[in-house]
Amino acid sequence: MKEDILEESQVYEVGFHLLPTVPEENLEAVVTNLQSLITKGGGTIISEEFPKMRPLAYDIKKRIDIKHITFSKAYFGWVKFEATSDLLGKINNGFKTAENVLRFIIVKTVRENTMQLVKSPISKRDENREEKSIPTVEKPSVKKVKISDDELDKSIDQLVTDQIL
Amino acid sequence: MTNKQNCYFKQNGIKYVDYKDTELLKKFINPHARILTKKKTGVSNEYQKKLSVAIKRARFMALLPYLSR
Repeated sequence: MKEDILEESQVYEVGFHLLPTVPEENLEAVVTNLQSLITKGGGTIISEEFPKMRPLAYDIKKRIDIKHITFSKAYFGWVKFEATSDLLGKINNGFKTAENVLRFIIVKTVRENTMQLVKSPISKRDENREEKSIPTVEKPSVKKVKISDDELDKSIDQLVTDQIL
Repeated sequence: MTNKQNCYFKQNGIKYVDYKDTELLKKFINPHARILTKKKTGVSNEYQKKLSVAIKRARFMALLPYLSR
């Protein structure tokens, strides 16, 4: 029974940061090299996102040769794949020993797309603001009518008497 | 007693909480980058657990900070 469970393939995802020192021309080669770790062992790639440069939330150190170098940005990409648990260990080791990988994580996931495309409430608020701002721009021109002082006094008196009543 | 469901994930039909979706996860952390409690978020027990795991994964991958300010 145990063997059956081990041989069952599952959907996993590996997310990884590549060193920012990798030139952009070589990115594709690096990614295909990492993907070959999965495909060589019999895994199948479901979906992927090509690494993009993004700032890190905190600095990460990596030992390169003897020096410890800190990085504040990296190329982040991910690959979703289907594999058996035996293969997963090999993939894990492959990523650990890879030169250009700053950090990586392997998680169990589902085959469907998991990224949510729900608009954030902040953007909705902005849309409302724009709609409201449009009519305010087209202000109807106020007609200026000259009123004599006597008329003004009269109208004020009327208002006052109305209020008292 | 009200049985009204306030769980963000159940209302929006989200079944898997992805650690990469930082825009979504940011809604559930405070300015110090701490995870908000279930009481504050209104998320169900089931999804609060998944949410906290996703935030911790995002922190490990430096997509979210461990602390800020």
